[in-house]
Amino acid sequence: MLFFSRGVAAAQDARDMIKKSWDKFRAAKSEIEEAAIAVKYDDGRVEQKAYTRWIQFDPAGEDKVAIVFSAPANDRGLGLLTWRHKQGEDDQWLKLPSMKQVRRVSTSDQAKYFAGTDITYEDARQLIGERIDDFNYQIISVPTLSE
Amino acid sequence: MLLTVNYDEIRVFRRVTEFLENRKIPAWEWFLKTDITPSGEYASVMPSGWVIGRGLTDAALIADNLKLSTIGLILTGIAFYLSFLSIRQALIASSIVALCFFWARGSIGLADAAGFAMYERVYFLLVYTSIIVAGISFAERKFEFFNEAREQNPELSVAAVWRKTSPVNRIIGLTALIAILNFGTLYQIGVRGILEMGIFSALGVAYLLVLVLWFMPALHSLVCGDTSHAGIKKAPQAGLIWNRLLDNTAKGCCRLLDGNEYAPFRYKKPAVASIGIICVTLAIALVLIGSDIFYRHTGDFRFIQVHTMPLEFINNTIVDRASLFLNKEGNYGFDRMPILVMPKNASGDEPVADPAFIKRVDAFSERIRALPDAREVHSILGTIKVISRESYGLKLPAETQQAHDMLQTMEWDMGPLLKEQLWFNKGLVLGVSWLSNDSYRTGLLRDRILDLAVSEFTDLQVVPFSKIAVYPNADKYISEGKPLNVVTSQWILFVIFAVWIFIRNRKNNHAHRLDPIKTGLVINAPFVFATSAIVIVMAVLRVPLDQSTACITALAINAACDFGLYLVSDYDHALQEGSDMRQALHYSLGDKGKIILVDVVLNALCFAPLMTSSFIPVVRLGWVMIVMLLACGFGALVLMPALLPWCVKNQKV
Repeated sequence: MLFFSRGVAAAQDARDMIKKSWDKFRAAKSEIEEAAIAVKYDDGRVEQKAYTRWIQFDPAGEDKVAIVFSAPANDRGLGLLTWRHKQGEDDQWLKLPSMKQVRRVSTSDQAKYFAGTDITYEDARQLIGERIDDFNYQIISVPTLSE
Repeated sequence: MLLTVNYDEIRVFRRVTEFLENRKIPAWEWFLKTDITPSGEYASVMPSGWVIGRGLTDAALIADNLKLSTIGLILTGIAFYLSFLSIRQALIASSIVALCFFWARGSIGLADAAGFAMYERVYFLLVYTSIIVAGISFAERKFEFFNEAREQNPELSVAAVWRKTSPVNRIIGLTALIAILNFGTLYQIGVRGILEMGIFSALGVAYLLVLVLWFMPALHSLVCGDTSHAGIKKAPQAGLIWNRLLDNTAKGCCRLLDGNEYAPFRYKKPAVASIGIICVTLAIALVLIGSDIFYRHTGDFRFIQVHTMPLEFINNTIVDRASLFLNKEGNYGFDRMPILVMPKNASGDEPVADPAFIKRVDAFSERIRALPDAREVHSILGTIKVISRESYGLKLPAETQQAHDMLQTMEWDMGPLLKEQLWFNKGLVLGVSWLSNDSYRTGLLRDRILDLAVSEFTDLQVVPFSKIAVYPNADKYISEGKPLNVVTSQWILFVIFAVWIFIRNRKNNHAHRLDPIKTGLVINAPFVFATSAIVIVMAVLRVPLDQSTACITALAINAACDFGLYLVSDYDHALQEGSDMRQALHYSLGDKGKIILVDVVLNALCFAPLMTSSFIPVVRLGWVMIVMLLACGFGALVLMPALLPWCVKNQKV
């Protein structure tokens, strides 16, 4: 019984720590990031890609993250918008440069890679921050100073 | 079902089988598995395609090999018994053949461990068959010699009698050498399965040589001790009748060549008749072959068809039923042949996204679809057309950006593993489904596709690939390699026999001796006649030259040599003993010819079980081989002895 209580308390501590961490992260209203990545193919070819990422944090929890590629030339304008909802599933839309319509990314596609990178739709969604209700957190060990 | 590069057919087959049968199949059951039985929700599923077809062939092969080699071994034992009239000798001789089976089969594992990728394929059955053929010959000769020596030396121990059999070792060794060289020449055909069959058959003969010359006498001495010789008196009536029948047949052949013993010996008339028969048969065979090579018949007709019908290996199985359904007019076709299409003058990093290239490939696909035997052409173009229509209102992409975007989304949807099977940045793959039941017609379709590319789509580089695309090449190798292989075998035989007679002549100081060159030619007579006869049979009965029938000559040449070699040896022996041509003929054919008949009958009996095989080509091999053996027997017992007096030259003593 004592063990169980200690376990629940530890999990609560871990959850609080993560929550505080994300709260601090979301203290900024928005974030812009410029990224350059090199994609190496099996045949030795290397492709340079570049994108800009905008994150908008909403106090009500309706956060948005948009990724728009600027390089290479044929990927210019390729974009992905993720709209986080406080309740229910998040929405994701993909915009291809040559297409007028946007394409909705289904939940079943979350594990798939996009833009020829190692980034999955799920990874892009999690950039806004984890939904802490979706996870269980545990402190496995606490290192001492000597360690 | 698309598979990764370097997939393992057996593993895929087993996974699919367990999936469709809804159960884990125990290891022992794979040895007996000859079909797939889908159950539960998959009960109405029929797997198709060559990966499953070949997997099923391999699985059925194991069961078939076990069955046929066991039947062959039992028949060999019975045949040995009828010949030796001794259960003990028959059991020992059969166990030698069985032991050789294990050694030959074990050699696959040893070769694999040594880094040579060898497998038990369909034609490994021919290895067992050639072991039986050689095993019968070697054991038969060795025991025959032993029994004769024992009759002559009843006071000697078994071990001492065995020591007296060493003279027969030379002739057995010579037969083995010819067999090994013949199997060795099969590499000329250039088909991996036939090469492996040749290697393991040669190994099997080498193992037999060791086992028969040394192990069999040792085993017989140990098992038999010094028991008294049972002799003919205790033999069963059936055995006696059998021996008398063979003896009379041999004597009948002798009478055919020398009807009146009291008249002067005239060998020229039978010799001319013999040469006439051989020449006419050979001429007909050459006309048939030459006509196929130099004269283009109407349509696809050939006197000797060169093709393999792969589905014949899995006749009446679920995959065969799937093929019957899929190959019906209007249906999809049994399998797909992948064809890589790339632009010849490509520019940029992603030529596959060039709208002009996509348009050309689309036109190429339409033209392929209209070819005879082709059914469907599948590729990413189908999806590209759908996206083009839905997103841009176009039939095909008009801009590189549009094509690039489509390919990107398709890749993200299907993942990199699937994508790499369908296209890459320099080209895309067309999957052509077709009526796939015949390697010859598959080759025709493949060549028509290539001709189409050369004549109308010169801007495209077209490369058929995968095992299916290269499968028809085996036909080409067989049709080109087989005549060369037959001629090489003839040369080998001629040289070996001529040298053999030359060496034997050194000890002959009598008035008559055999001419090495003439004898070398004459010993080939049964094989020339039998090969020509089989060409005629194949043309008349529409038997195709495929991977199984291509091996027949190697098996037949060994049988024919075996028959002829002992007769010539006995003929020469009689001459060396001071006999004249007539006496030598009566000794070698009338007195000793029975053993050749025994050999013919035993070999034919051993090939008979092949006719119970579940593989149609193996069934065909069984009866064609029996016809070939009978022709070789006729050649060795009638045609060759008629010519032997022509080889005798007189010398001053």
